[in-house]
Parts: sequence; structure tokens; C-alpha cells
Amino acid sequence: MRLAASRIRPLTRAFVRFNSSSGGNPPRDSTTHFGYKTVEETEKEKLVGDVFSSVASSYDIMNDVMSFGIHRLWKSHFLNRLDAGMRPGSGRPLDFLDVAGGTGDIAFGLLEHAEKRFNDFQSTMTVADINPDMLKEGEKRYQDTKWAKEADPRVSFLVQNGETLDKIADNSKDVYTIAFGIRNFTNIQKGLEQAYRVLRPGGIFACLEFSQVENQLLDYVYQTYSFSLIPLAGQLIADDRESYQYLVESIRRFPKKEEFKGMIEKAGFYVPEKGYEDLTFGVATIHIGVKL
Amino acid sequence: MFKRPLSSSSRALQQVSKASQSKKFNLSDLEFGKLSKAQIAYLDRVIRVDQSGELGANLIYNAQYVVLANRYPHLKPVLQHMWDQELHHYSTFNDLQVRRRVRPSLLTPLWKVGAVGLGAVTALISKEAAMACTVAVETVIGNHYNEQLRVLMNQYDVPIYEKNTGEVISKESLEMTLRTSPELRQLKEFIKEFRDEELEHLETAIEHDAKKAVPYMLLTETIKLLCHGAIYTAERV
Amino acid sequence: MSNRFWSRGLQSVRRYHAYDHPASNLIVDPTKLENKLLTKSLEYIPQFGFSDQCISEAIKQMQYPDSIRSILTASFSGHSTELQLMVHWLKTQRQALDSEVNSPDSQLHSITDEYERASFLINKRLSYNIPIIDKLSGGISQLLVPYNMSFSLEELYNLGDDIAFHAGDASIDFAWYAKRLSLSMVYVSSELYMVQDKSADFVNTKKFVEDKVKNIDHLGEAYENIEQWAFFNAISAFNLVKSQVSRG
Repeated sequence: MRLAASRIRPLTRAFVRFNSSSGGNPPRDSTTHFGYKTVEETEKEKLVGDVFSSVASSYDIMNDVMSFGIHRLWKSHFLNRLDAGMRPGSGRPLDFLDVAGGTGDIAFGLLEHAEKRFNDFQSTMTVADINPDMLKEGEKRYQDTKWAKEADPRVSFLVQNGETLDKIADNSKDVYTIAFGIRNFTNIQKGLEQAYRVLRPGGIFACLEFSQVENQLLDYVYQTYSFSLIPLAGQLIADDRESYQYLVESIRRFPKKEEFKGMIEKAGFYVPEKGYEDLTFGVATIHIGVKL
Repeated sequence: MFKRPLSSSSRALQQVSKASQSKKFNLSDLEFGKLSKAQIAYLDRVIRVDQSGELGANLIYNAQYVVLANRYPHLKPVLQHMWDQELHHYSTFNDLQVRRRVRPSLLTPLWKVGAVGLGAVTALISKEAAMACTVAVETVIGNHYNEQLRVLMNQYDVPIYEKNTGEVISKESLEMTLRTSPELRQLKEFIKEFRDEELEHLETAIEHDAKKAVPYMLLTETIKLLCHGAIYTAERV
Repeated sequence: MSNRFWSRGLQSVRRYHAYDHPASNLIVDPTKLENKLLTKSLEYIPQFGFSDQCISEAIKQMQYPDSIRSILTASFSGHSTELQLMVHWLKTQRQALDSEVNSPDSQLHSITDEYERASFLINKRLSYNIPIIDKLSGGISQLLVPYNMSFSLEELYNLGDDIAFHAGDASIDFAWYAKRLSLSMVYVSSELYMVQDKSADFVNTKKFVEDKVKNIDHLGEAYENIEQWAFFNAISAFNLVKSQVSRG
């Protein structure tokens, strides 16, 4: 499904909005941001859904375009940093939850890492995504993996809104991961509170997300690239300019690192050290929180 | 003696209790909160640069005294007085550097050579040039002390806790002298006192014909530039 | 990573000591979860050495799930868990030495000579190694990896500073650096001596420390140590560059 034609915004207008956005009006209570548009909260979920439905099949290409292909390195770095898995001689296997995990690359990566590093063939994985189209893409890929052939299936797929996670019990997971997903939440704070709810004490919240480049020169270069070339690339590669335009804008809208760290703490998590790690000049950032 | 593990963050969450506001506190009832890394780093730089500065000033006056005292007997007590004050400043900062565990500037040998050189060369040019040198140096030092005082006044607001209960005490309920830790208050008092004396030296130098030095502007501006460079370096190295 | 090596330098060493703000001077904040976990892990060093197993054991004893490990593996310092364990060991022992000095019962207070005090402090710090002496060389070898060298030197410098200060050093110029470097070098060589020392109660190590500290008394030794130190740094810098290059 395509976004309605009325939402198409020519490139030049996007720039004007970008330049004036810092002094823009704050959204009213019941509204939120969809890229740079202010929309009713109830509507954002649907709009985001439309975007992901329309890009589901070309999702990896899109990420390649957004990050110069570096997102693959970021994800593998993310997995290494977490270094998650049941250690030999440990009491019990872990329960992973990958939210907004649509295509499953983080989920499969976590399982693979645990097997290779710690011989952990028992930990379970739940992949949750609000978007059935994205989730289907992941399930399709899952069918081709070794895990689909295991007698006792350890991987499950759930259509779930990250802000409610209503099918996931309190204190039932050990590792909550979300990669390039949390900025699409209508209410990020609610999503963090749910993460806190479903984790067991000692559980880890780990988030990989696009972020804002702090070096002003590099930021200018990245902005120019992302606001002009990415939507164009979206048009050429996926014939879908508006969805890519949304993605670029949603990155700008996402809270700054320190602010997001504060939100994680507000949800109840303990945040170690400075709380985040910048990847590639801060184009992406890893945030960590622990439920005590 | 000075070390006690405490969690300032958990204390900061505690509300200011009504009871503590009406109570009268003594210094021994109080515990001053944690300074941030930036606050510590700034204090570190303050002590190091002020020590180096006073070392320099001390040696400049020393060199001027050696060159001028016998040629111009009327200047002898003037120079002696200023030099004595600088010696007092220097020994104060030496003491602070040792007790507060600040590392001295690594370039101390360079500051020594530079200061003696500056004092001797200007004094050899003329007594007016020596005074112009004093004007330049004291202008820079005076401004620098003012800048430090401004930061120490404005940027060092830390929570104060009641020692026994760990409760946050509101600043309004404390006497002015108790709102800052003795350590910081003392440092500010030193800097204030020294700044006033440095500005006194500046006036003395002008009274003794500093402005008749030729070329006055070139001389003072060059020396000011040197001082700024030295301050920048001594804060860091 | 190499830019971190260069940018640390003098900026990272111990700073202004704020006596009236006691929380500012803590070496290890015991309220932090990662520190609690590492402190618990230290208990298992006599058994497992400076290895990841100590952390596994601590997690098990503290009844946390294995997921809690990410707090260390994702540490923004980028240090391996083994190195984090070693670092934590060094910092907590430095903290312990500080507590010793601050205890009114310490023998230190009856010694007046600066160099004798320095000997006492070095021997005191070395005595903390006794319970883990068999495993110590494994920990030290991690500190000597070129990649970790800048950090190791920083921690060593901080120990040297503690010893010099508590011994009563009042240097105000270049001698300040010379003294700390000399004491650091004495500490390192004594520790390496101690690892090999088979004498009862490490009497030979104690003698070694006393001799070395006496030597500092002679200024020549201090200067020599600076040269050694510079040489040491030159080697580590060279190794670092080499490791960066060979990594491709």
C-alpha cells in the first residue's frame, strides 16, 4: 500500500521544514510526530504500519541505503557487545525477546552467537513486530534456517505492539533487544516501560538506533545525504519516495542520546557508565539498561 | 579520615524535609555533595595555572629587583614590597598544590627561565620598561583571577546533606558562610585577596612611570600575549 | 583506538582532591552494579585466576541470570571482561591502601622518614597480592598487552601518586614527576620480583623494596628512572603502532 498522495512532500519543502524545525510548535497532547508532520496519536501507528508494509520486502536494501551498508557491521558489533547466551555450567537458558524484529536478523544473530560462543542450544527467542507484513518476511526467512528444523522449536513469532506487549508476561524475558525500531513508536516512554515490565530482574535492555551526529561538519554532510539522496534512492530502488522520506525525518525527530538515556532511566532501568556507545561518528548508538 | 562511601544520587532523590529547614546547623553537621568531573578538572587547572603564574611573577620581581634595586635606591622598598607579596602568593599555591594533590605544571623549568628572562630583559631596557612589564603581567593575572572567581561563584552549586541523616538541606536555611564548603570558600578568599594585591601592583607600576616606557603599547601587548599563551599551556601541561 | 591512547596522556591522571566533598574522591563507587559484580568476582581469583570464570561464578552466587553479563561486555571502556577484572583488582587494592593510611591504627603513623614511609606503603600494597600470588602473573600479562598499555600506565601512575603523597612528598616542580615515576618503577619491579620470590613471608621482596627505595634517595636514580620510563614508553608506543599496523 502506498501513502496517500497528499502526504507527498517535495524535497525543497522538506528542507525548509528542517531548517525551521528547531523553533517549531510542540505537538498538542493527543498528537505525535510522523516524520516532520504532526499527526493524531492514533494515526501514527497506522502511518508507520503503511511505511513498513510498503518496504517489507526491500527492507535490507533500504537499510543499506540509509547507512552506506554499515548497518550490517553495526548489528554484528551490537551482538558482540551484548555477548548474550547461557554460559556453560549456568543454571538456566535465557529467554530473548527481539522487538520490532521483523526480518529477524538480530534474532537469528543472537541465537547464532550463543551457539557458537557458549554452545547454548537451549535459549529461546521471541520475535515481535507490530507489522504482520514485516513479521511474515521474517518467518519466511526463518523457514530456511536450521532452527526451523529443530524438533523442539525455540523461535516464535508474535504480532505485538511494542507499547503494550500484551501477550508477553511480566518478568518473563532476560534480554530485550530492539534494533532500528524504537523511533517508530508512537510513545517511546510507554515502550520502555513495557520493556521493563517483561524483563526479569538482571535482564538487559539493549537498543540500537540511528542517532544524531554530534560533529557539526559531519552532521551537515550526513544531513545533506539523508535529506536529498535517501528519498531519491528510495524512489529509484523501491519506487517509494515517501516511505524513505519518513524514515529520514523520524531519525531527526528521535530524542538526543542524553535525553533517551534519561528516558531509559525513567522507565526504571539502571544505566551503567555513560550509558551509550556511538558507532561511526554517532550515526548510530547503542543504549543499554539493566533491570535491577 | 576523608573517605566514606556514599551514594549521592540516591540521596539527591530524597526530599528536603520540613524539620531540617527550621533547624540551626553548624559546619560539623554538614556534608557537601560530590563535585562533577568537570568541576574537579577546573579546580585542578586553577591550582596548577595559579601556582605557575605566581612562580613566574615571583621570579619577574626577583629579576627586576636584582637589576634595579642598586641603581635606583628609591625603587628598592617598592620592589621589595611587591616581591614579598608575590612570594606569599606563590607559597600559598605551593601549599595548595601539595595538599590538594594537584600535579604542578610539567613545564615548570620553562616558566622559571621565561620569567627570569622577562624580568631581567625589561629591567635592563629601563626602569619604565620594567614597570610596563608589571602593568602587562598584572593586567592579565588580575583578569584571570576575576574569571576564575566568576566560575567558582557560579558553577559550584552542589547539594548539601545533613551528615547523620543524609537528608538534603535547603541552602536558604543556612547562613551564607555555610553554603559553600570551607575548602572552596578559602580558595575564593585567597584568589580575591591576591587579585586585589595584583591590581595594587598595577597601580604602583603606573605611578612609577610605566606609561613613559617606549614603545609602551608594543611592549605591554607583546607581554600580555606571552602571558596568555603561558596561561593556556600551564592549565593543560 | 590509537587516538584515545594519545588523547589520554596527562589529562587522565588523578585530579584535584576535594576533601570537603568526600564523594568526589572515591576510587571505586561500591554502589554501582558493575562494581558489585566485579568485587564479588575477585573472591574467585585464587581459584580461577584473572579469568572470565570468576565472573560466571559471581553471577551464579549473586543469583543473577546470565543476561546481566552484558553490563560488562557492553562496557563502554571497550575492555575485555578479563581486563576489567584486573582493573577492578588494581583499583580496589589502591582503595584498600587508602583505607590503611586513613586508619588511625596504621603503623604508618609511627614512621616519620619519607622514604621509610614509601617503603612501608609499597610493602603494604604488595602484601595484598599474597592471597592471589599464584595467579598474579596472568593478570599482569594482560596489562602488558600493547593495546592496554596506556591504561596500565595510568593506573600505575595513580598508585605512584598515592604512595608519594602518603609518604609525605611536598615537591612543587619537576621533582614531583621524578618522584612518582621512580616510585612507580620501584613498585613494578618489586611486584615482578615478588611473583618469583620463594622466600618465607616474602622477606626477600621486602628487602628488595627497601633497597630500591633507598636508591631513589640518590637523585641520580631518579633521573635514570625517567630515562627508563621514557624508554619504556617508547617501546610501548612502538608496540602500539606495530599492533595497529599489523591489524590492517
